[in-house]
Amino acid sequence: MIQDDSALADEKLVSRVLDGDREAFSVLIKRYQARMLRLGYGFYKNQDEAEDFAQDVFLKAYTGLAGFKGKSSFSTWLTKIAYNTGINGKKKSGRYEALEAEPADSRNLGPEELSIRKDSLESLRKAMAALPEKYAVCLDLFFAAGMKFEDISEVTGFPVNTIKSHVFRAKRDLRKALEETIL
Amino acid sequence: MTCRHFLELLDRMDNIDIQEEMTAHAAFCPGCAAELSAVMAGLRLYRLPDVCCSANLVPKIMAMLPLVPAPKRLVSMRNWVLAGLLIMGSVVLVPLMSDFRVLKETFGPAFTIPVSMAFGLIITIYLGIFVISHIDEFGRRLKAYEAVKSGKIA
Ligand SMILES: [Zn+2]
Repeated sequence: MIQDDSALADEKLVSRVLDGDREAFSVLIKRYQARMLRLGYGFYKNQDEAEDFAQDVFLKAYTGLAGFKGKSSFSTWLTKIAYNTGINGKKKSGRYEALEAEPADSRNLGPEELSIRKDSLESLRKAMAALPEKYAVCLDLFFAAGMKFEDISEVTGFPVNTIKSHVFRAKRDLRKALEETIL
Repeated sequence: MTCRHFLELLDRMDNIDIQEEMTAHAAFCPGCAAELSAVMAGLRLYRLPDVCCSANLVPKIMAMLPLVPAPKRLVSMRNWVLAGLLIMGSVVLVPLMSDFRVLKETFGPAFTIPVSMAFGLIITIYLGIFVISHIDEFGRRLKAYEAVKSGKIA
């Protein structure tokens, strides 16, 4: 019987991979490739290198999977590998920036939605540019990856309150920027 | 809740479900409701996956997995030691049990020999598994030790 792995929880998939089921890892790649590519693009600014980055992160995660003890969620653990790989990357192209690209399903978006997205991107790029790179990544983990303060702190090692205050300022600016567009 | 408090909470909000008191305020305050939906729309659209998402990343990585070391479950050294102590404890304590002594007196060697063999087998299996699962590590440590030794001699 063919079982559908795509509905399984991350931890269950990790356990399968550790039992020797390599295919289970493909579900994890599919689940997190968008986040890894986005981070890769932020660090390297081009698609090929973003892909190499994502590949590097997933292979590191695979070989080190036994080190995942479930203290944090798998996504936090994986993002931590990505963050360290990116921050310590020797050949990265300048500092981390939010990706300036078209959404994959832009055909389904109306002009107003595209304009909201553009404004959000501009506002957040500005907020990131105003911060040291390490904190710029925190903003993208919050705004793009949708991670919680605690998880970002686990990934980056910065105190929750530091992350909160950077996010607070960026969110206020974002709200102001969108106010002009929508209200 | 005042509008100012609402906006403060909105800006400080974590990536979690919106608080009930905020929903309650937004239900009768059109200004705050509009701010809330603007921020939500901005975040939703900002989070959309981008065109750069590659279609061939999964097969590319999957093709590389057989070439890298496969992950293995690690039993911590603490658990190994605990299991070892448990086995040793049973080997020592079981012969002290009154049932054991009664059986020993009744059956003599016909009882003690198979039991000793069973204990021996359990200890051998435990040590066997320990050695097999740590053989790579022993190899690495031996190499490191030899490197240090040859470094000292040289
Ligand atoms: Zn209000």
